[in-house]
Amino acid sequence: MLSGDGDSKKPKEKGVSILVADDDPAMRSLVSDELKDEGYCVVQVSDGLEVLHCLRDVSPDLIITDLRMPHGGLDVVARIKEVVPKTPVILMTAFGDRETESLAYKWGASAYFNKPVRMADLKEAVKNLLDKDGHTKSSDGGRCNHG
Amino acid sequence: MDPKTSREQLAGILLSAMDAIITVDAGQRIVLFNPAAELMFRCTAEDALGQPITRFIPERFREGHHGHVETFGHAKATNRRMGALGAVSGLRADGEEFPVEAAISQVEAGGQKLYTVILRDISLRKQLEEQLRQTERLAELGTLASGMAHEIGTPMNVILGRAEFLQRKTKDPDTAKGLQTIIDQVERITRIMNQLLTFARRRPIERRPMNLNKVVEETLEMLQERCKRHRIEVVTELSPALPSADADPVQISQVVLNLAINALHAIGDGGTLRIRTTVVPAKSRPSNHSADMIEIAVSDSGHGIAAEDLDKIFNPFFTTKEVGKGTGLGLTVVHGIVQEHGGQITVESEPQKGTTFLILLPIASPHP
Repeated sequence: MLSGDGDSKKPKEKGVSILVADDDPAMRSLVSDELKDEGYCVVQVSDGLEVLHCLRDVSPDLIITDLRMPHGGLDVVARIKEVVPKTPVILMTAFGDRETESLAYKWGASAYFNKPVRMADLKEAVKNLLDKDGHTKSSDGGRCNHG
Repeated sequence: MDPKTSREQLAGILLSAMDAIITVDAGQRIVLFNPAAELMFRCTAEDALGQPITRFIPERFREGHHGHVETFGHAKATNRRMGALGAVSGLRADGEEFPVEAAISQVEAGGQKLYTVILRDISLRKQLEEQLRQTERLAELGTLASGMAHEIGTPMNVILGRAEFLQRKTKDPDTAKGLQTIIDQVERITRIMNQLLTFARRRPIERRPMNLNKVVEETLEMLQERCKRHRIEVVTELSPALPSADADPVQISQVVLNLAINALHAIGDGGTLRIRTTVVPAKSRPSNHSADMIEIAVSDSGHGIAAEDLDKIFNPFFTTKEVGKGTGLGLTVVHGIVQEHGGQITVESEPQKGTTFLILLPIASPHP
């Protein structure tokens, strides 16, 4: 039997918003559910253009993005860094290679994961990056309206 | 041209020919055996002359051969390629069988019929053709694997993530157990894909002089704990005077590690893993190789490999390990790396006694 609210975790970091970009709705929803479970506010988008568009209105504390999606690629990481240079970006891609990983860091990613990524590892990275950056960015929970 | 000069010229041609030239009489006994034939069949002309030609034909082809020559004798044609319908095999004096290309011709001289066979050893060509086929197959597999990996990575992630998500939330042990099975199976697919991709994405080899003994020592160090846990004795015989190998250290480490882990799997609990390095002089190897090489032998006292499986073990996805334990790609990767180095890998095994993998690698040429 499954229990929808069996987890007694309480939101730990109210108002911290994370932008999740993936063209696969099931993946996007998985990551979002995990993050919401941790108490984060999640904004979901499905391609690179939407990421950039979204950044006009939202200033997320962290961005998690797939590499291979429409208008995606490493270029989108660089463009994100132009717009919000201090926002950590976590990049994910399916079975990426070492070269992709090193390029990801070179282009400004703060963390890199090969899919399939364990959600526990992803959440740990989120926690570490947010801890590192503190809570310095404007993180208006009220803007959390795309997810 | 006077008859003497003509005879000398003919003798010169026979002596210097690269192809083996053997002439037999009507009774199929050898009357001419040139030096190339001596080399090819590893038999002196002195020993060969007067012997039946069937001595140099594998037993299973002997009867057929008699019939073919007789038919050819009655035919009007004076020459013919042999084996047009299949491979022709030769048999060296030491019992080794090898593929040949052959042509036969007949003449009447001095009132008797003579048959001359010209033979070319095509072992190396066959070996290269097989290597090329294997390389092409693996390249195709690599392309397919890379493409597939991108497509299945995300769905696999969703299955894994959702199973973990639900497992965290459920209080029912049976549901949790079922979800754990899903997680384990996705992990298994991930392992297979990663190993396949390791092969598919292998970068071009970067050769440099490398110390093979050091690679062996480093590998064994990594496996030290595991050997201890499974009561496996490790014996090394590393040649102290081993020259540097001309190889890619990263990829050769992968080869050694892979073979050592396979050995540990084959042993299970209690046994011996033996690794030996040595130089194999060119003269002690088949004629197609002209340089000394470094040999590394990885032996185990494990369960061995059945004779019928020996020629399949390097094929992708072939495994004798129980379901879920092996991907069937480890030895494919090892084989690919060794081939790419211009090396050789062979296996000797006896069920219930153990297995030895022998790898030959080129020696780095000394710097001027």
